[in-house]
Amino acid sequence: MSPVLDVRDVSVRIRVPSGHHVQAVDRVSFSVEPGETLAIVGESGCGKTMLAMAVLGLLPSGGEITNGEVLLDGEDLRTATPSRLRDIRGRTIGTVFQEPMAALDPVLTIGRQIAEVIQRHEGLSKDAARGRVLELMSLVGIPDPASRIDQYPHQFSGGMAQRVVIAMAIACRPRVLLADEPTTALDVTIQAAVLRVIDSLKHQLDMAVVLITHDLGVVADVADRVMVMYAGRVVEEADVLDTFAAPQHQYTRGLMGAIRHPTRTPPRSRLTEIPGMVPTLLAPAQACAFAPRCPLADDRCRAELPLLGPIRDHHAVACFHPGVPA
Amino acid sequence: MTLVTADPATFQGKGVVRRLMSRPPTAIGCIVALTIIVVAIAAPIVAPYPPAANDFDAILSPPTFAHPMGTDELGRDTLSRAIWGARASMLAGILATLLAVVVAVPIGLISGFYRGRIDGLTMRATDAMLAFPFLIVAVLLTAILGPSLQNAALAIGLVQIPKLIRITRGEVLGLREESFVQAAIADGAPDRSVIFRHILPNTLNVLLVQATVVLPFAILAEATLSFLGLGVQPPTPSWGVMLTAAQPYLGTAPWLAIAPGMAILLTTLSFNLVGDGLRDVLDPRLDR
Repeated sequence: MSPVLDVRDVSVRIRVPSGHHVQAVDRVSFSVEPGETLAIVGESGCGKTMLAMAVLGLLPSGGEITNGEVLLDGEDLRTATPSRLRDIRGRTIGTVFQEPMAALDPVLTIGRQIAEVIQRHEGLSKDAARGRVLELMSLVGIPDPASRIDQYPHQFSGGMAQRVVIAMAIACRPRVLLADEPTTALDVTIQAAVLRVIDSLKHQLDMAVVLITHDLGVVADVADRVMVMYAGRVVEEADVLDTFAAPQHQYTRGLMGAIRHPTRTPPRSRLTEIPGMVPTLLAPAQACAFAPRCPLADDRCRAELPLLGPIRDHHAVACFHPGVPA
Repeated sequence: MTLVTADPATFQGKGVVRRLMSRPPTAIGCIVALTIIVVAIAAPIVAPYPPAANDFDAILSPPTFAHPMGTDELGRDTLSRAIWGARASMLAGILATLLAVVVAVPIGLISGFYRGRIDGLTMRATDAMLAFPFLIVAVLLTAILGPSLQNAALAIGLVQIPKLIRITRGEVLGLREESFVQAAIADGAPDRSVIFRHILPNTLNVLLVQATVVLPFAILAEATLSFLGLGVQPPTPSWGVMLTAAQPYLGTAPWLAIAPGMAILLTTLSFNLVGDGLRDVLDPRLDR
């Protein structure tokens, strides 16, 4: 199957107020097929959100794509006109944001907010749109849509509000769903429910899902493939099972070490953390950005940039010393 | 965040009047403000005497049965003049406020939303306008256009514009960074719809309150301009004209100042109460 979203070699540079440039994303490639969920994982500041914004053409002021192409069904979005991009946003690419409460307009009823997307992209009448809104609300699992459609966002709990945001994102049956930390702001008990909604919609609508998260529990739940980012670069990409069973990059291994496993982690044992902090890159990397924090780093890691290369089928890593430390 | 399960009908805007009336201070404000407006419109019917009618048997008369608020040095009925004066004062206030809002809000919206060069230009322009003292602008304008109620309102409205632009722009600057604005853009909303459907409604509560501050200010400003002879021309009464005329008699005939003074106080207070109430009622988050 051919990928619906194909991001090739994309670099994003952001000019910060001091006049410096930050290399937020450095030559990143990925692609997703319909019905597939790709999880993009990494710490805060590793460039995952900037990557998503670059795909949408919504980089903050001072940010620009300096390299590569973003292909949506073969069409390069970098060269698309602003009005074409507006047409794609919300119709072909649906977006779910982190804070459901903040993502909803406090002074409009949720019915009007969902309807707005449909009316804008499909030119439906108000009445027809309202019918669709009710359908969408039950599709995302909001009980009693008829009585909730005229309520305001503040009358919704976080989980229900996120369902509304998801309903808006899928209102026009997008080919790609871009979810940026969709469960981070929710209670743990609600997270699983919201993830299930996204997962079942993916199957029903045959969407490609790009799930940006730092939560490996979320990844294990719904992802098919995992792409691990560090300091703007992809350090490892693999099927979800491989990622958890045989992580190759020391950074990925570090992330795994920082989560508690209910049966395998001995009780009262200390979780391992990754020492140090994510570096801010002012220029495209010349060496492995993780080297200062890596137990296996040697002179080569500090002098040469490891490129992403396959170590077996569907598993690629950017490291000179992949695998378990000797 | 608690889940509110109030009657959904109360959230649909039709219940606004009912909800306004359910708050005692707001209800009083509404009633007083409406009464003032009705009285101003119906002045010829409501006022006991024409505004310029002289009663030479009652010069500077204290309140009597025939003249409930007394008379002035020309024997004119103070109550009637205050009622007629409401027309000029309210008209000047409303015109000035409308002018300021209609001009300033779109400029503030565009300036705050697009930022960059447009914003820089607007801000320097408002700086320049704010540097002019209000009276200088007003005197200049009326000197060019001639003293009249309309020109006074124009001058008053003009000086309010830069302040309103800044208030609107400040709100927009904050709102455009809000997630729901970003989300609307990510859903493909064109700028026009982001600005008018998402940003403007969220600034309305601030703007409304601001308008209820501008209106009383404009009424007071009209009084000032009339005092200087730049506003309403005698013998047409306005509250400002009346206050000016009352000055020499403050010790001997205080009722001359009390009538227009009370009128200004009541108008200011009632409009502020209405603005406060509207802000609370129009914000769905503040509903109990």
